Amino acid sequence: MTRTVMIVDDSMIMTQKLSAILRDLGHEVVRVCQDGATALRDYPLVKPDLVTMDITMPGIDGIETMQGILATYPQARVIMVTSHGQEAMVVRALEAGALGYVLKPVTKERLAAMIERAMTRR
Amino acid sequence: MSTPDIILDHEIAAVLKVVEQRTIGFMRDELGLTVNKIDRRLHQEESVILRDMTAIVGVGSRAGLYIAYSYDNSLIRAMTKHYTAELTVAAEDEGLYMRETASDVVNVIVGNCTAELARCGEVVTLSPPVLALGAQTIQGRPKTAIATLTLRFPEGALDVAFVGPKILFDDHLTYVGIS
Repeated sequence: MTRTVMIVDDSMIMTQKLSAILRDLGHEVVRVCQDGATALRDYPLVKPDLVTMDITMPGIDGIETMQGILATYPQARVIMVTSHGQEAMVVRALEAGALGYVLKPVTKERLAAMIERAMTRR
Repeated sequence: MSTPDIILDHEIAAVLKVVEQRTIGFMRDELGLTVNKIDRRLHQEESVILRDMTAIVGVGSRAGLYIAYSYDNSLIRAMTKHYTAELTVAAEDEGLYMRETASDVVNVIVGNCTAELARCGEVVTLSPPVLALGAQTIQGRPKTAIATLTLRFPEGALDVAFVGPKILFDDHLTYVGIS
């Protein structure tokens, strides 16, 4: 099933790689944001089915950005796509409202599985 | 040597080991590059000479540490070729993609290492990478520790410098230690 996806990641290459994987999986990338402030501004403009969110970004980090989106749009579905491998960070993200956690480097299989899991939660 | 310095040296040695293993694994598995020589210099290096392109991240832990990945031009060129293999890169954008690759790689490798760097459930924070262009020297100060790791590949060398505590750089990761 095709989902609309917003990508939030400060890495230009990572957004291109994620876009390619998502398109390969049959999804539509409706917005790419390279910082948290832009994501907070653009989320209501595109209301995607799903957001992929990096954690380490300049300015507002990914967890704060997600919390900002969820505060206004509690139905938003966000999965973290990050290099942070530590358990405490995973727990922090999930407790803050993330529906899933994918570790970089991202593989198509892991991302596909996490998207489907996130879309069936709640 | 004072006790805090001994702890710091020990910590840097432990971080170096974790980062070395993850870096070798990432270069092999993700970029198809195999290391053929490893040099470790653990004991209070007085200075580190950075290569033309260096990506630096701040790792927030009890002591605080900066990790700098300094690339040979030939190596970062080869890394970029593999890292962006599935993307369309215009010839005029090659420099931009090399800089982005330099930052991405340090972010992914050190980020992956945070699982092992975290102690007792403590959250280890990671700053976004900052890129330094042009050769320069990190000069140690009395209360800093510098360790270095050099990984040599057929495509060129990668120096990884571990500098702690975080007094040689300002909050924007700009090197302020040049006297």
